[in-house]
Amino acid sequence: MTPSTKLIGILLGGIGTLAIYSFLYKENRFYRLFEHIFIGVATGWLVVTTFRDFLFPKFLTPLWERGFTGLVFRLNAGAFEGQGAAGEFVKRVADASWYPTQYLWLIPAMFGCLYYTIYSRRHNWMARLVIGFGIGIGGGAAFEGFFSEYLPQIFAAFRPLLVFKSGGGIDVNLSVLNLVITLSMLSTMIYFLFTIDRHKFNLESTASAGRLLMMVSFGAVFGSTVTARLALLIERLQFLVYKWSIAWVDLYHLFAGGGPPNGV
Amino acid sequence: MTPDTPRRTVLDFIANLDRRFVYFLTAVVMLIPIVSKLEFRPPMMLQAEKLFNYVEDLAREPNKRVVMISLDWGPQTAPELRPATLAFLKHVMYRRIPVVVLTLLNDGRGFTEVVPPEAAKVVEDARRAEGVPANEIEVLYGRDWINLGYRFGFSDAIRGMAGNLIEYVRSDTKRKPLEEYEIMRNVKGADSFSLMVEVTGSVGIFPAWLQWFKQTRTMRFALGCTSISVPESYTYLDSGQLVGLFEGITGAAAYERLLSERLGLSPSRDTFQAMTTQMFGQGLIVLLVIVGNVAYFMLQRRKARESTT
Amino acid sequence: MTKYRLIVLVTFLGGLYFFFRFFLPPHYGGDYLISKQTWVSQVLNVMGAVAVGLGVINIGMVYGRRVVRKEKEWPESLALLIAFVTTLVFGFGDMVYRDQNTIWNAVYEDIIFSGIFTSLGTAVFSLLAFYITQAAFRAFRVRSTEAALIMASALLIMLGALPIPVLENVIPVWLGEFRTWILTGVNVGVQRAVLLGAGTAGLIMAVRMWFSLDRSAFGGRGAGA
Repeated sequence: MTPSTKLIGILLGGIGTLAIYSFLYKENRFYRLFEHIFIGVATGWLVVTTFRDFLFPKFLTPLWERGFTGLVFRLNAGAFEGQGAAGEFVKRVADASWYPTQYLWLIPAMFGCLYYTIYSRRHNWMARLVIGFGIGIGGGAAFEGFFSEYLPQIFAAFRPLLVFKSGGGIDVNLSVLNLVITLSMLSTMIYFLFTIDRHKFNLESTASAGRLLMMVSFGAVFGSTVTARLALLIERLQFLVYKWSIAWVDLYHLFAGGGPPNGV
Repeated sequence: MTPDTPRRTVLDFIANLDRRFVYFLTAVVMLIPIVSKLEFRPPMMLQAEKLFNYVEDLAREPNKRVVMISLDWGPQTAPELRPATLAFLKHVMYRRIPVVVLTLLNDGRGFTEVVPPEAAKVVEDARRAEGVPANEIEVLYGRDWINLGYRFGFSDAIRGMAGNLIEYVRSDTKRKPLEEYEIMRNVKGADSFSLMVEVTGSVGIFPAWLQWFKQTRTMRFALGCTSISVPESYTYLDSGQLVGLFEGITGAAAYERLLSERLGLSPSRDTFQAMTTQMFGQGLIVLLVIVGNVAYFMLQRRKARESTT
Repeated sequence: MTKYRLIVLVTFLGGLYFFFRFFLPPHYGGDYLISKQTWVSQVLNVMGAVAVGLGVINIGMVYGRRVVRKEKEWPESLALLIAFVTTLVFGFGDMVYRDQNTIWNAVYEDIIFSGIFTSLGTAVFSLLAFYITQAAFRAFRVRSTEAALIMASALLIMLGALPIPVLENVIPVWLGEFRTWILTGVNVGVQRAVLLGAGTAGLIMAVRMWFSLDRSAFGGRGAGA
């Protein structure tokens, strides 16, 4: 009995995981082998998904069906004229599927292909045309991007330092929170002001306060980073304990006869 | 041992501990809850609860508008973001809110095909257990959810979809024109959606959605992020640019708890267990920080004493 | 026109659509430009997608050279190339036999994606968990006020989100609230200041590069001129 692809996938995944973890003991060839395999698969995956999910359906197929194929039928329509159903079919396809404007898509494609001139010492300046175009897009789009993302942040930065409850009285919690946010923000901004003389404007203590408050925020970032990294390890350990170990049991049963008890 | 050999104390042992022992200790401590299948109830997270309540409000709308979820994560961040994605999909599917699934990362392509059916199965099992009529149990592709797959181009894809999604995307992963699906009937651009949930561990993708898939009074954003991005995400919560947040696996576990307690959906035991294991891991780190610092200061004091004598 | 000037002109032209799209009022062409957004996105996608071959060429050049010349780590490089070609072959096979449950689909989904890509990707990044614990033991020293603040804040954030069942109704409630207070108070203020500062700097840098005032992306003035 041959093992299923799912079983093989789980077994390979576990072996690869342990190979990667062997690096913790010492760098070794087993680790390097699987690291290289991963890079190969990841790059192949990128190429396949770009081709199958974009280039093929959105660019090549329309170019072929509405461009070349339609043109071929159009040019040969005369040969099939008066040939009954075949002639009508060719004429119908030629009329329906030939869009000359489809060829215009070759212009951005050829422009994008200028990237490949980067490998030529003589013509690599042409690659800079495409790169420059991309940078230009980023520059032009930066305005809209900035205002869309940061304008609400700027508005939110202005907040009342005394908040009143709807039934009357001061909402102390919210007022204190707004005060803390405003002071944190201003003191952090003052800390990063290097073009003025802080001593002259008595801003040194504010800048120091900003520095300490930043440490609190960076501590929050650090604590969150620890949480994130642990989650990756947890998933791998769960995989090894719950799936990989059981996959070996299934493999044993498969070769001992009787099929995998866990149905992988 | 010669008379001149200094005695090794516990302090010396701790100070010279091999890093491989620390790695081994990490693995062992985190294997304890996994092997023993220990599970604690996750704490309630305010931001996850806010998102849950927002989706419940959307479910009460008479004409439920479509929500969109972008699975912009891959294997590297799947442990934290897959639970959040699964929890959200279970919720909207259970409440019969149509959902559009896509990804801007080629790494996430496979997950768009695997995670929604997993959520659908949980919802169908729950409906079966509740005795829902047979013709209302199934979560149907094309009516309840649709997979637009991998959209190449990051910001360009977001901009294209914001303008006219059907014209830009044209077909789903089954290569069928979007106009043929019931779910896409009233969908045009960003305005057509009631909620856009971005689930990502990558830097820069969520700001791109904010910048180009314009938020309106009726189209809001929510975010599922890895724990690293949580501190930064709070600024978007504060400014009102987000209605809710999945704070990594902690947020996902809290959302699963809400799904279980309020809707009766079976929670993902893997997520609850991951939270518990995380507790062990963080406890170990806290212990190591304390032990490391205590050992360091004691060694410093010993060195100072030895230098004065 | 010199090559350099041509590059500067093309760079400038690249940003014009988005600039006018944002700044032109609706009845003065803004609406028309916004209506062309989908088409513009498709054009830019085509331009970017055709460059996918660069990765393939690079892989071939770097690792292929190692194999051909039997340089250091050539067996591993050969394994990389085999994995790359296998992924391409089964990927295109999966594309051809889409939704048909053939061996091509099974191998691509179960072995290449789930087995190797997902597993190895997670494993590589999960190594960081070990390094974090090692760093916690060796490197995190509370030597100053700033370090103490960082550590205290980190511990509160970590512990405030955990289910500690024995103390569930007592200390964790307090820890959880303190965690929320740090994140919604000090953290929001600091992160907002950093965000606005970085955002403004990013806008300025983007504009400088749009006008080719900052030529580091092009390798300095005179490159290609």
